[in-house]
Amino acid sequence: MLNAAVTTDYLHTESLPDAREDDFVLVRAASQGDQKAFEQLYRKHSKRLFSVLWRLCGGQQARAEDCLQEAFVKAWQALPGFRYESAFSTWLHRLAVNIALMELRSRKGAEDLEQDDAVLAFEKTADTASHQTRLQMDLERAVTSLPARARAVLVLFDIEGWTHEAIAEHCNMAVGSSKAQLHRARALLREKLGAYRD
Amino acid sequence: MTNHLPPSFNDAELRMQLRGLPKERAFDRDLWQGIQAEIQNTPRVKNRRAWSSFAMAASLAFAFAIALPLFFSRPSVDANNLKVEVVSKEVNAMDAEYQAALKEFSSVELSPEVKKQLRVLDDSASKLRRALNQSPQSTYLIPMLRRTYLQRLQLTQRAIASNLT
Repeated sequence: MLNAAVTTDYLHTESLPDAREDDFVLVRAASQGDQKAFEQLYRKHSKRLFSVLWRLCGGQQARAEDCLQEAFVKAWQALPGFRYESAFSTWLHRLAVNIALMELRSRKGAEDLEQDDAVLAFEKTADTASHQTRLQMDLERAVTSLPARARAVLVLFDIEGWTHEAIAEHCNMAVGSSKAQLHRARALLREKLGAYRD
Repeated sequence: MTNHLPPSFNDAELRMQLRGLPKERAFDRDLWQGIQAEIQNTPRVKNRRAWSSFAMAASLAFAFAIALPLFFSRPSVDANNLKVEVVSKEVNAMDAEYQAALKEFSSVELSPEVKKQLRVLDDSASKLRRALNQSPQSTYLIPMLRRTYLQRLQLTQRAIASNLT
């Protein structure tokens, strides 16, 4: 169901026939125990996945790396059950997002007390960046500083292109809540961007 | 992408900027060693119970859906080697999945008549596999092998269903 509900740029670019076929050969080998093939899948998909996990984890590098590692370990375990009904990238993406969301839930309440060194360093470099890069960095900074739930919905809907139905299913919330969280996230984002401009 | 957001940007403008954010992000640690260390000691999920005729058909369709386009669409110098490798891999994979599906039915007792029919199909499949091993370029054998597998599976399932009713 989710496969049909999720429509993203990610899927459009990563699920092209050639990419899918290349992945399927590697997936087939990996599911039969070929670790070299699995390493190739890791090399191919890790940066793309990391960008999502990093944003979901509020820009906290170490947490996002832990989620990424866990996602690939879980993928290895589950690979023999992969049914080739969707692109491997879609399947992996969904699995990784689930892990990050579980991680966020497990840290509920503690997250706002944390301030990752990487985020602080990231904020400092923003001062010297070019205008366009500066805008992107402002956006990244604003996104990563949103409250966890609003951030998850905004990342999945606005950046990753998921539907509210898919987000609701993954985040254990009603579709209406997903829409409300998105509204809240965008309002907060505008507020933060306005503050950065001033 | 525009270089700045207007003072009162709307949802579409905001979303456009967000969609323009980098899709990939580098990270400091090479996680592969950690992943490799974990997966070496990690049991894998086996889900053979879930096999059904539909899944089998989907799997077979998949095998040919990916094998045949590769077979016909790569006019490189190594095209022949690639064809042989791809066809061989996919036929082996299909065979393994088929055997796994059949194993699910191995404990069911079938009538002598059904067994006889299954033996005929098994012989045919075996001959087709041998022929493909000897001559992987004979791709016309692949659909025949697929049909034989499906017939074999369907006959088994029908026989089991009639035993149950």
